[in-house]
Amino acid sequence: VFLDLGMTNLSEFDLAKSIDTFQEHPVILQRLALVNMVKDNRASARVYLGALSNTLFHADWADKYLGLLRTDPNLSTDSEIQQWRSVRVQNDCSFRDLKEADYLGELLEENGENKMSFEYLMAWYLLNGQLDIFAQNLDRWKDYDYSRMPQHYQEAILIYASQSQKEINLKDYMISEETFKRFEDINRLMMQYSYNKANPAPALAANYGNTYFYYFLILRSGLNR
Amino acid sequence: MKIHNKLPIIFLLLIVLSGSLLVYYALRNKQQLPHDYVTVERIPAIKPDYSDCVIPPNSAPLNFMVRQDGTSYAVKIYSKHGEPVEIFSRSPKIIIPINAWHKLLSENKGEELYFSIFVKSREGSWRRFSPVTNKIAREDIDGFIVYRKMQPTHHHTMSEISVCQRNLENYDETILLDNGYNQSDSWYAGYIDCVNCHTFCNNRPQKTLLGVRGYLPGGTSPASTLFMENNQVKKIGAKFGYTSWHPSGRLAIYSINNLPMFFHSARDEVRDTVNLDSLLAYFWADSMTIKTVEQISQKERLENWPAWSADGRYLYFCSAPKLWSKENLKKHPPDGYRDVRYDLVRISYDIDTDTWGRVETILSAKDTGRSIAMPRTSPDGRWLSFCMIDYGYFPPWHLGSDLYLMDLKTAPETGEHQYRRLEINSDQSESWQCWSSNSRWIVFSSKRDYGVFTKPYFSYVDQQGKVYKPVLLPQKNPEFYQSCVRTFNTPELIVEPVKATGEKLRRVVRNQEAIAVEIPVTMATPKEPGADGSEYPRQERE
Repeated sequence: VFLDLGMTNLSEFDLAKSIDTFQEHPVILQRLALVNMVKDNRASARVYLGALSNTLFHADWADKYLGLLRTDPNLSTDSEIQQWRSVRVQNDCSFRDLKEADYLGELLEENGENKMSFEYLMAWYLLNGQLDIFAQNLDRWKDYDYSRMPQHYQEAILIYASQSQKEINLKDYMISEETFKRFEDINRLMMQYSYNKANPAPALAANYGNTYFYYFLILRSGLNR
Repeated sequence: MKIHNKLPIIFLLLIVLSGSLLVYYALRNKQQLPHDYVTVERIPAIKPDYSDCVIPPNSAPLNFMVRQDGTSYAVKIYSKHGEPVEIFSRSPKIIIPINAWHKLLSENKGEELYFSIFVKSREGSWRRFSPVTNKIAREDIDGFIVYRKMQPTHHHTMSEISVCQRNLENYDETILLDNGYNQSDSWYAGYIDCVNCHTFCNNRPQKTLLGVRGYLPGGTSPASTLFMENNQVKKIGAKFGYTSWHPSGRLAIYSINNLPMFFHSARDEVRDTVNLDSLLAYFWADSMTIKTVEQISQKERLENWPAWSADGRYLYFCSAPKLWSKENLKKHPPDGYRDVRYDLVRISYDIDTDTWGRVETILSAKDTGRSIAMPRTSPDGRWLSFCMIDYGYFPPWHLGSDLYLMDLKTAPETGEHQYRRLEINSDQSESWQCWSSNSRWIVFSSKRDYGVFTKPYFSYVDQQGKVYKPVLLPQKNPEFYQSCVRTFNTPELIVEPVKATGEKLRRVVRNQEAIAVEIPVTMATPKEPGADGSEYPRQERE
């Protein structure tokens, strides 16, 4: 995923750490070879490929790339490598431990067209319940080729609008009638259960278990326990 | 049929088999170099690139791969005197017979050595390429190299790591000490976390220091140093950083550092480190005591990379101002880490009276614009080699790290320490150099051919300080490095092998008791936790 996002160094870092746990497993060596080809570190890539060419199941793949590095050292004919290179982060920053939001934000800042980093960044905010930052970044969704706003985004903005008491023009987000209805239904159920001092989780799970409403109001708050 | 009835048949079969083998080898040896061939006016590509090098007369054979397409290969290795060595092979892998090689080299010290390479095409015709030329030095290289072999780590290692000694005259490699990762004895495997830098006195193993970091269940990580003196091994309850033995062998000076690791999001090399705080201290071998003095442990400066002059009258080291406040240390890395550049300084020392002089700057980072690291002096006292990088203290993780040479002999006459960048540098990182005992060879680490997989190279240094094209440490299998996912770092040359190895060292490591030594100072800045309150991770170094 890091490689797809453009976090090539982070991918290398995690793979190198994985060797400690899984030793020199061919799958790890294969990814390290790819990372080094994306970074145009041909010397390192050749060593990983050389190690793989001695394995039973990855030898053909390794030999293909060893041959390609001879005939096309820049790998300009390999569309996959070119795609990874095109999204690769360029501005260097230092880190000790991964701060996902910072790193994803950097990626997006650098390459606004990196839809994947936008989606991961928004997912990160949603998972952590950081709806204020989510709302600040939500306008960017128009930059991408969405036919409609993703359902979870619609649900999150409704929660944010109701909790923050801020004036938000919900028309901008093309929130569907169904989403409004789900939100009202869930609110009604939550109030009922609150009045009865009962746990709403089982009832909500049946009909709304796949919604962000359920994640935010039940799972994240720990009401399901 | 009983067994004694079978014996004549078995005996006969053995004779026939032996005879066949003899005939095969006799015919094989009668192979002759091709007479009909087309001359190709260029040298063939070979890997490793053993061409235009100066090679030690006691080197193991430089086996190589011929990188020309063909169905058969013939190589004639010859020089001015003695019998040429001829090799015939159906594969491009050229394995040189070791005895014939050593005989040829010993008879031709100071002469050119030629590899004349013939390649047979698929059509059946032979091509003869212009000979690959190397020169045989007059002076031997020390017989052994000690290096640390490990995976390129990005955190503290939990994988195999070993300090090995390799015979340079053949391919024998023995493990001095490893972390037991592959041992079935889990208690042992869990105990040694890492084996670190190894330091010899005057290229001899009679006085050796070897760092060991243990790891015990519960998370404690006692660091200790093995002190090998002649055939005895003692465990000192202190971790020595970068260390240099005084040529007298009476004391060793070492750095105490706080060197956390961090990472880069886009730079070519992911890993980086910063020396948050450091000082130098010295260990008296006879009394097992540790001392320091203010001149080498200044609170406002970072002292690192000690290296004694050949006569022991000066200590060279690297020193930089500390650019961060305690508050800034809560960030990791602290702001300004890219602005830290080390000067090369020295301080006089009288070992008989244990008296230190004043620190004087030899080469200022302000003048060079770069940071100086890893100084080493040649045993004849003539040269000082060092690395320069854009910032910080650790060359292996800087793509632009280059080797430099300073003439110490001319400095008193000219009034300045002249230095120059060596021609042998590549566009990759060069680091960690060590001189041979006769000052004619340096071995150093380089990423030039195998990227993150650092390998040792040795170069001849003539009397005038010219450094010749480096030779990659030869392997029996010339394809070895092409699939070797290990780095070989911290190469040190010694004239004879370390005697205490393996279980003898492990026993000492396992012993819970270590000789307690008291360090007379605390770090100028105590070890800081990270911004989140956690301790900085332990880490490995190339």
